[in-house]
Amino acid sequence: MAALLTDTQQQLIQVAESMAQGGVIAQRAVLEGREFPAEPTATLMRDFAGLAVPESMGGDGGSLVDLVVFVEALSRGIVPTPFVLNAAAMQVAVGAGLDLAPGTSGVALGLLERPGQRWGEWATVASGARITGVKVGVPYAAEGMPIVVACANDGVALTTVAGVSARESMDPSLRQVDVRLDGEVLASAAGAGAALLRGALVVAASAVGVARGALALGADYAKARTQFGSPIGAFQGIGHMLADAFVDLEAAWSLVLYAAWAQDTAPDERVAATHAAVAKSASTAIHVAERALQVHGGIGVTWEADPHLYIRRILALNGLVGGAAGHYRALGAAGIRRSA
Amino acid sequence: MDFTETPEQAEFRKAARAWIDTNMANLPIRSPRDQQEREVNSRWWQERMNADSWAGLSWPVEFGGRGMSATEESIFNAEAAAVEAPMPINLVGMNLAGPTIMVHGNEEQKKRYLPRILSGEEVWCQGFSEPGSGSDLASLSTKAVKVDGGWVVNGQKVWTSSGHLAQKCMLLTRTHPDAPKHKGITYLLADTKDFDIRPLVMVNHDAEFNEMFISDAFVDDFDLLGTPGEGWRYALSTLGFERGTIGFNLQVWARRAVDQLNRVVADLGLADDDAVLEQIGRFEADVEAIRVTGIRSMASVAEGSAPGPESSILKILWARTVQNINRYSIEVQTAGGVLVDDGRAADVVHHYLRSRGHSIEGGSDEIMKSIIAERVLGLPKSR
Repeated sequence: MAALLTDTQQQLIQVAESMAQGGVIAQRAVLEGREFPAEPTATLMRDFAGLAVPESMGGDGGSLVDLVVFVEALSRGIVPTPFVLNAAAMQVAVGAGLDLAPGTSGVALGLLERPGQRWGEWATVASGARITGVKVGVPYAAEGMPIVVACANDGVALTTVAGVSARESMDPSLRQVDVRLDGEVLASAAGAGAALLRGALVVAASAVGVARGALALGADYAKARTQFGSPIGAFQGIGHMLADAFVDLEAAWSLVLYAAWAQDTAPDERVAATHAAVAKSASTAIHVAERALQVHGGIGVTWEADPHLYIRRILALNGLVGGAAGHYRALGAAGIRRSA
Repeated sequence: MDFTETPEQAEFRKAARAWIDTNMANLPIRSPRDQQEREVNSRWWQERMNADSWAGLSWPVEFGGRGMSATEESIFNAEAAAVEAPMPINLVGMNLAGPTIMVHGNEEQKKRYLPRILSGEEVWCQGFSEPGSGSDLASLSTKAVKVDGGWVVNGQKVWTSSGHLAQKCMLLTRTHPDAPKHKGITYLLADTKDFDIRPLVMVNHDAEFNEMFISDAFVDDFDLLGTPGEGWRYALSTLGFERGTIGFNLQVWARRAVDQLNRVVADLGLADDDAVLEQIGRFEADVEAIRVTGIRSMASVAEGSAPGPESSILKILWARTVQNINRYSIEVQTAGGVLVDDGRAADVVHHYLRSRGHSIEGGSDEIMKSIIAERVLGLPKSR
C-alpha cells in the first residue's frame, strides 16, 4: 500500500467525471430559475449514497478517501445535487456512530445557528429526549426530513426537521433554508468533534473540486484568448498567477487526502489533520476561483461568463463549515501545544 | 491512498533514530557557533555515516549504497533533522554528482569517484551558474578547448555551494561556440585545485557559496563525462536529481521553523491571541501540506514515474512557507525580534535572512512557475 490512488479510486474518479459533464450548464439553469435537474442526483443517490459507509450501517464499506476523491471529481463540474451534503451528513453519522442507513431520500446536515458563528461554537441543546433550536442556511432540508445536527460541546444528534423557512442563497442550487428543530432525539453522541469534522471534510473536498474546475476554465481561456498577437497564457502575469493557484490547490488537496486517511486510520491525528484540510481548502478554493475570473478580463464579470458560478458555490460551501479562520485557530492552538 | 508506514519502514525509522542518537552524543562540537564549526561537525558526520553504511541509502548496492528507496532516505533525513543533526559535508556529491556519474559516467569513472563521494574523501561542488548565465543556464560561456590529453578551461562560475570545501567540480563548459546554445556544452568532472575560489558572504554573514575563477585549468580526458557537446543533456539529469531530492528533505526544515515560532509565541504569552493563533494555523497547514505532498510525490516516483513538475510545486511551497514563518517569527516579537544581542533573536534573524535565498536557489520561484504553467496547465511557452 502506498500514498497513491487505488484502482478503485481511479475508477470512482472516472465515473464522477462523467457524471459531472453538463454540470455547469445545469448549474446556470438553476441559477436562472429553471427546474432543478433530476440527474445525476437520482443515479448518485441510488448507486453511491452508501459510499464510505460501513457495511454494518448498510453501506459499501469503503474508505473516506474513496468518498473525497469521488466528491472532488464530481464537483469540478459544479453539478447541482444534494448528494454532497447528504454524504457529509452520513459521514457525521458514521463518525458519531449514529444508527442511520444510507437511503435515496436523503438526510440533512445542520451545523451553524447564526451569522458570524465559527466552527465548534454550537449552542443547540438536546435536553433529554427532545431537541429544540434553529439551524441557519441548511442545504436541501425539508420538513419531516431526518437531520444530523451539531449540539453544544461537540454533541451530535439525529432528529427530524420540524419546519423550514426558505432563504435565498447566492448559490440557489444549494436550496438553503433555515431549519426549526423541535422534535424527538432519535440518536445522539457526545464529544463527537472529530465526527463533525468528517462532514466538514466532505464539504472541503467539494470546494477543492469546484476550484479545480475553475482553474481549468481559467487555463482554457488563457490558451484561447489572444492579445498583442499572442495567447494571453504566454504572458507571465497570467501564467504565473495560474501556477500559483495550482500550487495552493495541490497543497489543499494533499491535506484533504491525508485528513481523509487520518479520519479512518490515525485517531491521534484526525482532528488537527481535518482542521488543516478544511481551513486550507476554504481559503484556497475562493482564491483560485477569483483568479480564474480575473484571467477572463471584462467578460469575467459578465453574467454570461461562467467563473461566477464557481465562486458562488465555493463561498456557499465555505459558509457551511464556518469559514477558514476558526479552523486555522484550532490548528494553531494544537501546534503550540505540540511544540511546547 | 494509504499513508501508513510499513512495519519495515517503522523498523528502519527506529534503527535510524538509534544510530543518530548515539552519534549525536559524540559530536566533535556540541553547540557549533559559526559556519566553520558546523563544517567540522558535517565532515565528521559524513565519515560516521559512511563507516556505518548510512551514506548512500538510496544508491545501488554495486556502488556502495544500500539499494533502498527515496522513502528510507527521507525517513533518515527526517529523524536527523528532528534532533538538529549536522548535514553531511558531501550532500552535493551524494545527491547530484554521484547519481549523474552512475547514469552517464564510464566504468572507470564510477570506480574512481563513487566510493570517494560516500566517504567524503572527495567533496563535490556544482560549477553550473555564471555571472551572465543564471536562469538562462544554457547560455553559459566558460570555455574549454581540446588539447593533447585533455581540455584547457577558462571562465568564471558563481553561487557555487561547497566550492570552498570541494576537491571535485561538475563543470559545464562551452566547447562548440558555433553550435546552438544547447548543443555546444561539454560536462567535465574537474579538479578544483587550480581554481581561484573566493567565498561570497551572504546577507546573514555565512559564506556557504563561492565564486570560482578558472584560468588555463587543465582537465584530463579521463574526466570527460559522456560525449563532448552532449553536456546539456547530462546537466538536465543533474538538475532533475537536485529537484528530486529537494522534496524529500524540505518538510523537516519547515517543521523546525514552525516549532521554533510556536515556542517563541508560547514564551511571549501570546498563545491565546486569536490573530496569532490564526497565523500559526496557516503555517501549520502549509508545513503539513509540504510533508504530505512530499510523501505523495515520493510514492509516485517509487512507482516508476519520473520526478515531474510536483518537485516545482514543493519547491515553491517550501520556500514561501519557510520565508513567511521566519519573517513572522521576527515580527511577532515586535521590538525584541531585531535585537540580536539576544541569542534566540539572533538565531531567528539568521534563519530569516538565509531563507530569502530559498525562492532563488535551485531554480527561482519564477522559473518554477513557468514550469508549472507550461507542463501542468498546458499554457504556451512564455519565452
